[in-house]
Amino acid sequence: MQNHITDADWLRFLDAPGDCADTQRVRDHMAGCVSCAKVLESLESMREGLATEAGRIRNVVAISDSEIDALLGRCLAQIEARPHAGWSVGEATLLLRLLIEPICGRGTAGATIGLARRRSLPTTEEDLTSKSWSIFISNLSDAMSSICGAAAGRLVRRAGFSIAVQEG
Amino acid sequence: MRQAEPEAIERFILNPCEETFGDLFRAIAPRLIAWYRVRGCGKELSEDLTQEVMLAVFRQAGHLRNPGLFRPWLYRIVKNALLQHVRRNGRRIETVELKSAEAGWPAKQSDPLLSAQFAEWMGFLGEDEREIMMLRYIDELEYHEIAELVGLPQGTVQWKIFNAKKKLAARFKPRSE
Repeated sequence: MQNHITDADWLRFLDAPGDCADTQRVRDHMAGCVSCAKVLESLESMREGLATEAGRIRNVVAISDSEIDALLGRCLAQIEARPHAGWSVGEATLLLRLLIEPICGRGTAGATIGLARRRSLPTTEEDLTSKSWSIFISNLSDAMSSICGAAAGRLVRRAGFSIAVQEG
Repeated sequence: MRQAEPEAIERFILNPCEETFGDLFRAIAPRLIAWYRVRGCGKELSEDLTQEVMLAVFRQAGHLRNPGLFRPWLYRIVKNALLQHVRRNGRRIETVELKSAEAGWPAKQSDPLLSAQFAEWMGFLGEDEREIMMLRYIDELEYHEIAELVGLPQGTVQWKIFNAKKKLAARFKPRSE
């Protein structure tokens, strides 16, 4: 009985033919097996066909540099016309505190936020800023996970990263 | 000349300002417009949605620190913008229907793009395979980026792509040039 190339072998061979430890075995087998050689031919032909057709579609929908520049101009005008109305760091922290208090209690919420804040700030800074907000949320999420479980940590992470924070 | 995409992404994440945003916009907006066009949106709608997405990118850039996660994050925003648009417009929208938008594939075959052989191949695949194949071939995402975006392990994504290719190879023969 002839041992044909398995799907797992094909996957490894096609994705990284140079790096695969079994490459030589696959090549040796194909040298003497017409059916596997045909499979390889059809898979490679399909891969090339997909790449060619996808490239053709990308060309059809391509737009010119001048159109992109016009779009960019409109986008920048919108950014200037509608400055982002985000939350201040203080407001955002209060919001998170209100969110976690029912889960872990008032005292623990305050202590956990304080701990996450200390861990997120360099020694030279005293207050959180919009730049340190992401680290603060990660630290608070980790702390909440260890105190109240992974679901609480995920909730904090999602809520924290959904809040648009700005200076002021 | 358009700046290389990875470089533009990195510069923007390190220093999100109007200058780096401009470079990023020039590098990725054409791809986003193509994403929407290929999924059945008209040119004007594709441009509007791309603009919406790029505004969100500008405003939320502070939350992203790892340039390697930028593309999966970006494409999540891209997909959500389309879903929101479809929901907002309910039945009024004619180009894309919600179920198809969720699957990342246009319901109406009215766009001239869809006469391409690629569309025939994609039509042969199941929804999840089609989505992954589109991300791989049209949007040119790496396996790990697709995995991050669709929430599957990288190995599963590789398997799905391989199986889809195998299925297509057994059914179709690509036209020679």
